[in-house]
Amino acid sequence: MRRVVQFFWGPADPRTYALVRIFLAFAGLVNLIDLWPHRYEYCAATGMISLSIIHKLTQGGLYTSVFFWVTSERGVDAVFLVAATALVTLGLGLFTRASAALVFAWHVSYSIRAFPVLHSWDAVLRVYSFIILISPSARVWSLTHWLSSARSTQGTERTTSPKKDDGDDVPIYGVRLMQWQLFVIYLMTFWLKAPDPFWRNGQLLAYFSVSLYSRTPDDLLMVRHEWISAVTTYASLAIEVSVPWLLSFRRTRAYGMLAGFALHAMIAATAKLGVFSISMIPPYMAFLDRGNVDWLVQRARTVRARLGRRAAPSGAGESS
Amino acid sequence: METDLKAPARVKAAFKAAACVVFAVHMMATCAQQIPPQSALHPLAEPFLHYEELTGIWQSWDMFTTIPYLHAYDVELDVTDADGQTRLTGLTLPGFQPYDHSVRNETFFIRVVGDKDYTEYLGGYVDNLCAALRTSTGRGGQKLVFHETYERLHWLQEIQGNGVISIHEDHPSRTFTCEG
Repeated sequence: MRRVVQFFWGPADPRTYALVRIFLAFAGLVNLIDLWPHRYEYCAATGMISLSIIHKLTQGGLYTSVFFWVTSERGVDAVFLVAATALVTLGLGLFTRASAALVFAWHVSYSIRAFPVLHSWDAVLRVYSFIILISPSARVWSLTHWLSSARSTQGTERTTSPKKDDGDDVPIYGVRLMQWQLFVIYLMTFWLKAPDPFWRNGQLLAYFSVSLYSRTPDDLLMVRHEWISAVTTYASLAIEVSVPWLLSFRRTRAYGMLAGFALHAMIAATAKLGVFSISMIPPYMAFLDRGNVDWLVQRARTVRARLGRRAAPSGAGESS
Repeated sequence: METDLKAPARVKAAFKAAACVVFAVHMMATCAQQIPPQSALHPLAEPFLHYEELTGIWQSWDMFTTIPYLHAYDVELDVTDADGQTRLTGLTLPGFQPYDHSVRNETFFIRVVGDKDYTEYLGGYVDNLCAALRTSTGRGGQKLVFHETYERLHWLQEIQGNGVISIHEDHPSRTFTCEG
């Protein structure tokens, strides 16, 4: 039992949670902006999805949505704007818990109301919103922490802020649930794709490249050079089945990150599914440990210092 | 005094142990819903249903499990008034805007107009169209037909042979009648 408790309640770097939170908020905002032109079509009583049908199909389940009560176009505008604000404050780490609750409510609400238009990324955002809601709030990289630090430096704040423990380890259970979720996403995807004859013969991406999902459906490159399709089809399968394992071990984590980001960058570049690729970034952040985050912070400082050195002479030139 | 100090620690340990059970249930719920309905093990998924609904973790990862079949897709609405006048119109509500080819609307129309699994949504959509027509024209009784246009992909060998990517297909729906 002690091992189980340690597995869920062991220490985690709060910056891991902060990274997931920030990227989740960003992805959620991109998705909301993508939905904005369609808000009345899917969420208002004047739109295309009948609320009475949604009620009928969700009867008996514990489903709820703010759009069950808000049906007017002005009301839908208000819900979208509140959700956008909550996503921004979640990303900034301002009123983090309340923002996380609103963001979770937003993702659940539109998912139920606009069920016929849902894609896989909606599920990614909804599931990770729930996990973020129940995870430690991780003030370490947040506007709340920064503001209280600034006030404290000026001597205008009491000794309680910034909290001395903002950078301390927090329980790891949220990270565990996020990592588990990524395993399920990729391994289920592989499980469902692998038996398909077109994934097996390597032609899938050739068909995809000329389909309505492609950014260039009239380009016959992959059709004419079928070997490119075969290589990329098999590479996609190999990445999907291996990424969760690669990410799990420190030694192979960088390869997992590179492979996963390459896969999703390729999807974003070639398919009209950019929101999906952006939504897949937060799950990866859950695999970064203290050493990885330290390395990233160090790299960021080095880059900033270099940029600062470059900017200094030009700034001096301008003033003279 | 020592007992007083230990009591909160025991409560904390019990809370952590209970939370571990909840986390394990969450992980099982994530997996159980992936069991196909045809499987003999599917009943194992049922106890988790309400947990999934409440927490919003319902999910399915069957994305692009086989090839796409369409090169292009379009859809229009054919409205015939009670006096027999016919017109093609946009079918996006509100406002009868034309289909905009966005990913979300593509998904909506391909599923709701073309997929039998979404028949109930189609009924609700037609009701909303009729209500909007009644509001804009002041009368009902219109007959509605959806005209879907597919550019269906040829097999790869055929495209390689002649460079023609797709074949054009028209798919008119059955006729829906608005109440008079």
